[in-house]
Amino acid sequence: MIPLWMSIAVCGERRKFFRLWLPLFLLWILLLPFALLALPVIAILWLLFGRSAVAKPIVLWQVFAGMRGTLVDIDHPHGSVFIKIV
Amino acid sequence: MSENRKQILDMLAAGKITADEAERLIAAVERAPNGDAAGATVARKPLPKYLRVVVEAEDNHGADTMTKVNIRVPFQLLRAGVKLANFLPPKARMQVNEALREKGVDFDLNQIKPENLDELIEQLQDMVIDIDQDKRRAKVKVFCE
Repeated sequence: MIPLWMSIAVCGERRKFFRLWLPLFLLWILLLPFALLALPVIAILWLLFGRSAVAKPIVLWQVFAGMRGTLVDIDHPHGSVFIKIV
Repeated sequence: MSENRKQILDMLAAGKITADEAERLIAAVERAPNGDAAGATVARKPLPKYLRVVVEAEDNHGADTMTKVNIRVPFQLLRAGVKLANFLPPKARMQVNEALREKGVDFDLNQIKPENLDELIEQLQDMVIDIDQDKRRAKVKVFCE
């Protein structure tokens, strides 16, 4: 399952807080036409040169897809960082 | 003797598989949910999805100032990362190994392979590392969930 939302919250030393919600699903929607265009090229490369020819894009995709569920929450007296990918 | 085990031994006797392969097959049959030697059903634990690292450390300024770290990394991401590391050119891997060694981590990046990671995850299932350092009151927990 691909990540759909990313939440980033940063708090500085003066306890100034900002939070950002990134709708990653919009990015996927934008990338969808390019993915559809790239699909036949990937298929042809796979058929001609085997799996190793398209291994890098596949692994990169696995990295992006695997990010769902990541949580980084660091709370320090001088600042804090919170990153959550859902 | 279970039917599966008998079949494996028959294959070994017929010379279709080696003793090493037979041993691995028997181990796999024993691990399988319906295939243990006693015939009883062994329910396998579901594989953990995340690696968690929780750190609570006292700051230099005193007990009131605590640093808290809570990290959750999906194993799927770790697996993909290991696969991605295989694409690193050998020179870059050597540089990474060298940098790790300089930081006191004697680790060879070439030894990480996806199959090794699966084994590691299996071993990590029941493991909780609990470090309690008296001087600065630091507590580190590494576990799977």
